Amino acid sequence: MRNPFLATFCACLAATALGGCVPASNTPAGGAPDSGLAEVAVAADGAKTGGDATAAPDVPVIDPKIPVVDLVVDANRDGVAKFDDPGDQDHETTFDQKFGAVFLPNLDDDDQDKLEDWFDDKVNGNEDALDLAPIVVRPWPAAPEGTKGKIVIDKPELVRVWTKVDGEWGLLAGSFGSCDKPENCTTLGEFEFQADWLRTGIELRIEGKQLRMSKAADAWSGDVEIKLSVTLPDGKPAANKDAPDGTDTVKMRVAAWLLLGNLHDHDKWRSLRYGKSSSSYPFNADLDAAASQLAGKAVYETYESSSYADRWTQDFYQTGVVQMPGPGGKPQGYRMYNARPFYNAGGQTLPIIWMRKALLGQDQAILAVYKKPNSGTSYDSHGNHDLVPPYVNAKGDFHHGRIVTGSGVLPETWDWYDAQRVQGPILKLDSSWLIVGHIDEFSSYMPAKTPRGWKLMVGDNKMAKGMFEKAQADGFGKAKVFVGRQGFVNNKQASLEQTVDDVLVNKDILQWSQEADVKVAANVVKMKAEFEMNDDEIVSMPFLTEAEGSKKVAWQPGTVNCLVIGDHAMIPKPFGIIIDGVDVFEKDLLDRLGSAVHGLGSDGGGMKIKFVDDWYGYHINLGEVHCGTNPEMGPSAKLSWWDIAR
Amino acid sequence: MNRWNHILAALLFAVPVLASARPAQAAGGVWLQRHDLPAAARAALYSAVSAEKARNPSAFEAVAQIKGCTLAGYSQTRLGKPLCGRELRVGKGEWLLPLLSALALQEPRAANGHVPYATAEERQAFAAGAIEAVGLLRDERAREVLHAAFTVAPAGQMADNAAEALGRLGGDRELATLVQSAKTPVRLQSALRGLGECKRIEAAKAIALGLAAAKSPNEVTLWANAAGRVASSWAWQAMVRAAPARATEASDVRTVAARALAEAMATTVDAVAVEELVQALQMTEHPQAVAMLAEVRGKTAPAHHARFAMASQRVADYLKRN
Repeated sequence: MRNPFLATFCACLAATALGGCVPASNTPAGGAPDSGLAEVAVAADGAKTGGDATAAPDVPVIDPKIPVVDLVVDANRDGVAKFDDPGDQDHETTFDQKFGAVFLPNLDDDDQDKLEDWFDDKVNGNEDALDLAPIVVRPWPAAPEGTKGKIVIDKPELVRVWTKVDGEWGLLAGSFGSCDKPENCTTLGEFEFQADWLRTGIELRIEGKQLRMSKAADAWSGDVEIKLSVTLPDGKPAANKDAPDGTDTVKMRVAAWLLLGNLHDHDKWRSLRYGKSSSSYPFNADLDAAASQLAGKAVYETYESSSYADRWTQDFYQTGVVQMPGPGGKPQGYRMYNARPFYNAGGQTLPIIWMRKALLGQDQAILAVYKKPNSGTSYDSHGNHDLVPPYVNAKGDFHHGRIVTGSGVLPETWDWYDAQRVQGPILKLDSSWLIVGHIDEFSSYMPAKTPRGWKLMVGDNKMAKGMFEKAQADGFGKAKVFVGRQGFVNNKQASLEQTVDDVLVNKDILQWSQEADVKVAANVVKMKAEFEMNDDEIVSMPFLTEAEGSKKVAWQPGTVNCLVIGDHAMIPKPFGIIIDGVDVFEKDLLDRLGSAVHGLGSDGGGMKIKFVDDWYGYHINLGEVHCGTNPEMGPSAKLSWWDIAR
Repeated sequence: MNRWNHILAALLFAVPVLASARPAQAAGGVWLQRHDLPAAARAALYSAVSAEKARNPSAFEAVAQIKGCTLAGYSQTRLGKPLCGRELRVGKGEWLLPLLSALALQEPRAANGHVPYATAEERQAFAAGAIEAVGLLRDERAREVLHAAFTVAPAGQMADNAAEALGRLGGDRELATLVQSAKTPVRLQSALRGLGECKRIEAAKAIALGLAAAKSPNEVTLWANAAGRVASSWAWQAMVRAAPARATEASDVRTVAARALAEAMATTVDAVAVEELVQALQMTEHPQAVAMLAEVRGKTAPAHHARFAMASQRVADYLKRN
């Protein structure tokens, strides 16, 4: 019990079980609550801001003898709970596109002690206080001595309610203790207070302990109901015309987790860092060069294999954001990384364990949605989970994007995605025909200056085959692909170079490529129908495919499997047909994607393309650039998910 | 961990693997035991391997050094499971005899004692990759080993790979084996994997007959998939480029398959099976595919017409895509 404020409430806990907690001094720890407010915003120090209710010019003068029974939340989502704002007052129990209060699950680690902030019974500094959502008990300056107030919370096991007394935060209700084990957790669903608190009003703050985890009927809906009751000295309800039974109830909803996609304003991406003598180092070198081009917009952060020996950075965690409305239109929240259930072959620790060390921190949270460690399959790697950029049509409003996955994802993950109520229902594609089984092997998205604002990129075997045929028809049948590329065997001593003529008589490569082509086409049919998309909104990324057993993987570097940051596209270097010193596949991508041909980029003038040599580090190991990188961003007004209420 | 725990852990790990794997035999290869191969074939293979080993020992060393089925290798891949078929293809024809030796005569072992797998799962993955790599070479010297490999393989990936290898080899004996195997429910899937790779009009006709007689949506799906692969227009384009005289056969195979697929659409309502029929029709890229669908549609009740409309649209869109 580190917080002296709690000493008083420890007694309250026992007293509550016997019929209610009424501190002998009438105020916890002997102080008066820091209140007396007309409005409460979340200031940097976690203290109240705002004016005096009695001084507010547009508040009608009311008879001081009429009881004030008023609980206020930030229902109008301006980051402030105000008595005199109809937006807050009139919508305190609703949640729709315009109104409804939000609170954060306090899962980041602002004091950087490697524990989630909700986990201890204290507010972990000013940054942590910002993550608490305001609830205000409006002052009743003339509350007679003997008047009592009571706050009841319907889901106390999932939240914590705080107030500040004499400059110190104290826990009033909700779950107490670390709750790492049931015996370490105590739940208090209500607390009472005396007239002196009512007279000054009370500034409360609420934090959640978890996100909404499931949409099952018996799972938590994500909503919390908080009820204020006031009784007069004679025990009767302190009634007024708005609260004839002497009570006022508000509802709040826990913030949703938003999955991030290609069109978000990423400010960072990560990958593994190789030693300069490694054959994989060109991957880093090319991304370093891309980072230079993105200076001021996004940074490239790397980790060493000694920290975590998994090069598939896209796969072992998913990036996202959790946020609530904040003052001044600036949302409050943090980045949240969702862990894959298993570690890579030969790995020593689950991703979540590394993530706790490396990612959990100030304004950064981690999460494990899976039910059992080491469950799941390759489909649960996050390269198989993506976000379709925003679109709205007759079939649905997806203006915060739509989560898309391939085959076979763990049911709890799909359930959790949909439980967020913002980027679902999930679009499920067929990725079962791939060796690795990830949708990023055949689909991606880039910004475009079109009414939709983006285009769908798809792997296109047919186009690749056509490029080989054209080279042959143009007399370049002896031109080679994979020039200088070696692979697989005995320190890569086997050359993989092939001529165009070789490729075009290779019935296996061509059949496998065609099998992949019809599989991609089937997925495109589904996406076109869902997105109500025209053919000119689909951009081909050519490469041929190979197989092992009946499953497929990119034979040429899978150029669709790219990293997109703003108008920059980091595309696997194709090592395509070289004619007169020019890589035909590179030139095609530069000509089409890097120009106005497809209207890509925010200005329609094309993407800024950087080819990344991922051959040895990724391509021959069944992946490409997207698989080896993971972009992210923090809270943003563009992620104001509460404007979708489902 | 005490000794008993070690034993228990080893048993727990081994049981599910051994259910599908073949035990290592000192006198055999990674997949075939000594008695799996007829004595004459074994002797002939031994002789050829011995000569090749003397001529080109580095090929045997290279096969023993591949990494994809070792933890050090596959821990770097995105799949994270032993997979070395692509790696075993790199040596092309030069590795045929080293691979046949590894499969049937003697497990691969490098000069320094290194073996390219350690666990039963890794060992089976090596065998699967080796069978596939051998099959892709379409070399008649592999015939006896591949037949034996198919014979001893239980249903599943090993049987699929062996059947595909037989199909790629594509002789009369292989065709007969696959057609016969397709009559056995437990071998159907593997046999069809093989028939789809057997680029012959006889295979196409056998598939067409099988598709017409398929009794369940799952069977339709399997037969349709085989029809699409046997008639893969891209594969046939490659074959005709290499051997222009096969142009007529290419056309015949694609026609037989496309017609069978269109006919099957009349009686297939299961969504998965219908999707496979559509994709297989796309694989044929037959210029008359849409007309064939229209012809069959005309013989069906109106209740089935929506399915034909969808299929026709999908096939037409695929054919016109640049």
